[in-house]
Amino acid sequence: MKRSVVNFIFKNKQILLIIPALFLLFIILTIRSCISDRSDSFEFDKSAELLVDLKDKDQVDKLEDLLKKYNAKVLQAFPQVQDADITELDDYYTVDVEDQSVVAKIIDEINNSGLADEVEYNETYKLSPIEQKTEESDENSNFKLNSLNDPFVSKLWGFELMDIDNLSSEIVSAKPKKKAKIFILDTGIDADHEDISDNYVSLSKKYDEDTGLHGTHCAGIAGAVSNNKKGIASLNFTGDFTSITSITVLPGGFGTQEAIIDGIILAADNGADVISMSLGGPSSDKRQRAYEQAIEYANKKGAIIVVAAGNANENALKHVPASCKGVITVSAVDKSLNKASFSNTVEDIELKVAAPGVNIFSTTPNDEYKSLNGTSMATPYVSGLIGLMKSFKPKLTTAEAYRILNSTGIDTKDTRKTGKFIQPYVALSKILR
Amino acid sequence: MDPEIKLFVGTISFEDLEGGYWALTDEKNNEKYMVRDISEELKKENLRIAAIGQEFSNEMSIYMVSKVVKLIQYRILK
Repeated sequence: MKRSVVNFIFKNKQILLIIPALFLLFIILTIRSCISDRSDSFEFDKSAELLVDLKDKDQVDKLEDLLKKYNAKVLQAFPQVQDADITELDDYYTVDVEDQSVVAKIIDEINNSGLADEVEYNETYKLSPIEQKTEESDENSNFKLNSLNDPFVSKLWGFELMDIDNLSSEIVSAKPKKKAKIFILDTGIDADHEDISDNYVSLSKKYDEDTGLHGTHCAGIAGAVSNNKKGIASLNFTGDFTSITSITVLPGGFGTQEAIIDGIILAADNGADVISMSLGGPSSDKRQRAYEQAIEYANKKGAIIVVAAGNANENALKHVPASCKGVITVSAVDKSLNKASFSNTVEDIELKVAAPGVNIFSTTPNDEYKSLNGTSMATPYVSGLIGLMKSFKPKLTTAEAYRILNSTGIDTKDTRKTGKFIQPYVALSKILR
Repeated sequence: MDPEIKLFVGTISFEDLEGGYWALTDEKNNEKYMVRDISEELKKENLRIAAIGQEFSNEMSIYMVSKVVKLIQYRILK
């Protein structure tokens, strides 16, 4: 990491000037803090009602003149900022008034004066309460699956909503046309996990351990060994329908677009039927084009690509590969079929569905199990289902798979933003009939 | 695109997503940044800090958040 920062610095000569200035700034601030014991000098003036972003800080006298009649006190909000080249914080001023009834008038006057870019109530800058995630308790789950003997299956609340009991009873004796290969492009997979190893096919030893826990968690959702009296279950009820293979593209959870695209190509070249990608980042035209070329390549080689919508609670169009053509994008919902608070929305995505993504119990390295939240968790549910569908219809295309998932899915509390919630039993019956 | 260097004043929180990560919410715009390689000292809920950091706008990850920052220097505020 140190080396990459150094490389970055030398590639960008202007940083050579900025970095020392920033360090100097911190040293000055620290000394000031020690001498005057004013370590709270970063605090906003808490009593101030307004925060004003002046167009030109040299006009602060004009602002003071303007507000003199209100007996307002104008103070620089961030007096410690000294290098105006790297921040606009030095343009911010607080306005403190005793008479609260004139605050609205003052805002109007400042806005009409043309002195400020922005005037806001100071409270706007206070932090919002930390959002409570919609974590749900496992203990309330009381459903039971008659067809599966895995001990933690009752923790898989999604199985009840997806009618997995009927599905497994129906197809447990069915003979698939092939064992569909599901490739998980992630942090790696603990290939020795007690609830994964029998369904695991190694591409290379270097991918057979998890550099975190994320890849192993996704792998369990997509293809944990079922009916083995251990851990959880997946839609691979007998072990004959799908296999799991790992390609590590995000060691430690982070990586480059190039590594991901390499992973897509590697999976496609190794016969992937489904490529499951619980990953992503901000989109750009350039990035989108590069992904779409790799996706098209994989689609042409017979792979269906399933990707996570992303976790920024914004339009998935802003994320890749979620917004790429040729993929099925998955949003996350909770037990009540509400959109998960973190899930990106998919209203502008062409091929989109919803799956469970809150409090999802699955495998983690070293034969352990854990509940996680994220659109990453929703994605392998869809990958596992499409793998199952492909095991009975190997030439299933992305468009066909989506048409089935969408037409058989059920509404969520906000289907426009989430897409339809998958219904594996009905979807598979469309393939089998 | 090269990382952008910015000054942040905000509060640390733990986000229970994708296995969990620490975030910094910038008071200036209420934007939440995932903090990469956060130091142990900063792993405290509601800790208020001032920091200089590099914002990465093209990060690919399992977390799939919009904004990622790596803190270069920081100071814990009262």
